[in-house]
Amino acid sequence: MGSVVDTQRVVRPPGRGYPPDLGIVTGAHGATFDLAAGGSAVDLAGGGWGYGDPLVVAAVAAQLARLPLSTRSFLSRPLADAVRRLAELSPPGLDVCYLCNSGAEALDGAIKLAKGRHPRRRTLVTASRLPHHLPVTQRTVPYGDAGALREALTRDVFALVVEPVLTTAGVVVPPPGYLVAAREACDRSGAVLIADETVTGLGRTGERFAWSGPDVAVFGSTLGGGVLPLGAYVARKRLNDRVYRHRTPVLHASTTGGNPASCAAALATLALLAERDVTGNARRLGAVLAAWLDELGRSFPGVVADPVAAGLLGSVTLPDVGWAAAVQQETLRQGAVVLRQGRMLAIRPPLRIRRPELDRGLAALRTALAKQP
Amino acid sequence: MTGLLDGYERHYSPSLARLFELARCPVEHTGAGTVLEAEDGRRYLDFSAGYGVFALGHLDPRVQGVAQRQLATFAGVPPGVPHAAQEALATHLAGILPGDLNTVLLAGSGTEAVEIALRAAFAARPGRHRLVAARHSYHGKTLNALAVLGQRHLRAPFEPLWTDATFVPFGDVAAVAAALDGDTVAVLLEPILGGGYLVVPPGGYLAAVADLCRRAGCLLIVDEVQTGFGRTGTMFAVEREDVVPDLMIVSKGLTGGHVPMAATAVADRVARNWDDATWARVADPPADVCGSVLACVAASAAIAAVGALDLPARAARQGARLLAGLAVVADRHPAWVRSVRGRGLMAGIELRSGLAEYAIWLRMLDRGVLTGFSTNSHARRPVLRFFPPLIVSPVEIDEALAALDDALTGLGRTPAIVYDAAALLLPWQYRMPKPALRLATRLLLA
Repeated sequence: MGSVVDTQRVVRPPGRGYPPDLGIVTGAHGATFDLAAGGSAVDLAGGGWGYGDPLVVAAVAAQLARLPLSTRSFLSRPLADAVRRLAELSPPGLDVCYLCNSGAEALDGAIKLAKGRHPRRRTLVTASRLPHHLPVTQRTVPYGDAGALREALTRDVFALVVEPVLTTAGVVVPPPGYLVAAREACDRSGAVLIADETVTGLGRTGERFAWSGPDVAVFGSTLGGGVLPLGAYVARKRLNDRVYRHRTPVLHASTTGGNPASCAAALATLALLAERDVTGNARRLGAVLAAWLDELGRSFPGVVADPVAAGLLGSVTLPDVGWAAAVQQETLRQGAVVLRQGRMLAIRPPLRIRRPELDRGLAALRTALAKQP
Repeated sequence: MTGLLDGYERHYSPSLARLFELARCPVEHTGAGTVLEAEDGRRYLDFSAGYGVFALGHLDPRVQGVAQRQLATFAGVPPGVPHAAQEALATHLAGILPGDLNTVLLAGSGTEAVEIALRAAFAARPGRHRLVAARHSYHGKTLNALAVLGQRHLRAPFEPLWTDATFVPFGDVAAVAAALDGDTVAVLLEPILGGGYLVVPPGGYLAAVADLCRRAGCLLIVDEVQTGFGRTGTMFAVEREDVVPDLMIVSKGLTGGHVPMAATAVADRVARNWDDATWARVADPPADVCGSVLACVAASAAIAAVGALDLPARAARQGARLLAGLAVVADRHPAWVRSVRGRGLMAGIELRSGLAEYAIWLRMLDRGVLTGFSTNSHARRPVLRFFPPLIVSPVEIDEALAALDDALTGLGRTPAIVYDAAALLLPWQYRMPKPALRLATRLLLA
């Protein structure tokens, strides 16, 4: 024990589309990483809130010094405050919150809630996205195709998971009427409609929520204000009551989900979201991003195709995977991190990014494109 | 208080709001060492330790200092972005984990770590489908973990699930042997059964199951979420029988009660031939906590503190005192206490009914001691837990024992059979009208 140091192996997570030679990040502030290799890089990939936000850090520091985790035996004021605030800011009708330690766990919880609503049904329909290795019978339909969606929602389907804007294969804004059609199809079949807002939620698209129509909305790391891992779902009260109200409170709960420190982070983040113009910032900088991406399309015809932007979410398509990897690599050398999804490059800066950082990052991408042979 | 309950009722969990209202639960505020303080200023000796997360007590100064410094400078990055603290922690952990459990995958919660372990097991035994777990076991409540959750009432509302599992009585080697076949992926066990009962298996049980698994070609996954980091008197409970599982899950106590975190350890012998695609199936997407520099440095500091304070040895010593003391009190109240269970500072008393547990928990609270409520409304004879921080002193143990004796003496004034009869209603408490419950609570528990 302990002496076999040479066989110890750390699996570094495979990076989810980050540049392979990013190396160790030694610090993060605003929307910028400090790199062990020297220098810094603007983060246009991580999504989330931003780094070292002083108000979130101060709120978490205070709670950390008081009671970081809960006893789970007593009432928790940070928890009560956080769920009330999240419900208040959520679309009308979404009233009951479940807090946990990641967006993936929140999505899992939302699917479990839906299964509890229709226990005898066995199939989950997802629009072009497989939720993290879930042990669930899944049927996948192409994103944006309302007809396929209607057809897939048979009586055996207990839930539909859909992103209001697709973010897993570049950015795809659905055709008008798609989300309404999803709502109508679920109303008809009784399936629970789950909006995966882990990327789009809390301001990124220029609205607090990209969509106000689901039965359950799922949020991810943005809620933790870049300080603590956090996920949450917010559900309709009637749906939650039907599954959980008359049963033991431990039917779905976790020891650390909704812990006081995370709730302090969420409260600070939600306060900033309500009081500062975070969505306005996303809209304004989203327009800047859109202009940059359009310009890239015009300047590099035959190389940069399909520039799309929806608030602070964007993507461009390159000729092939090799191109995309080379441009991503060179962009890092030029001082910015973009995310690669196949032959697409996705742009997902932290919400609190400022104009100069965004311009610097996108200029790095432009230089990288210009340097390709 | 009313505002808080209203928040719970409308926006969180109506059934939890009901439970807390009836129990007139205090509002937690802060703590120090073994003492927890409520908002109203009342102090409680914490013999629940948040079901184990406060293994180092509240606000351990070493971990707190490191965590605050890290928070002030660099709290974290998105998951998937490499940082040095994660590697340092994995090396730390691999250094104290038994045998060839050398690869560590981080998760945000115990249940997320169980999910990773199950993915790893399925990846290691392709073509096999069935899991074996213990009846009454507890491994978390996310969808895949739910399939191996041995408490039927927590699983049933969501069944049928997608993962095939067989449940065997805990502690019975022959039952495990009978459940194994060529389709078995893994056996998943807690070294000591938690989940409302607290059952210490007969000596040699884990070693015998490990041997059966080897012969059946399936994996042994041990869930040390509750037992890890010294709680039972050794760093990990499996060490007592020299068992090195194929996969092991740890969580509570990992960050000294500062940040949520869990980890799944994979033995070299399991992953020897895995290629990158297999690792990706098991470890991707990385849990959000992988990016938390704060959680990683807190965990490294906590592990160092467990070693520096020699907490496993302390737990063995103080655990002996606690168990002996519980036995003495139990002997004085045979009508209420059926048995004393435990090892090290994972201890409890088996009570005659769920309502008796509830009543004692409340009476202990009145006397300034917070014990670990089993939260299992379907357990016929639940075990009330005595789970103090591992830094607990002999004087504090004696204080808790005196409070227990006092609580049981007070309880003895009502005939036990009244509690037994009323306990039959426990599974329906969330459907009964509130005024009736309030009355019952006042009559039996106040």
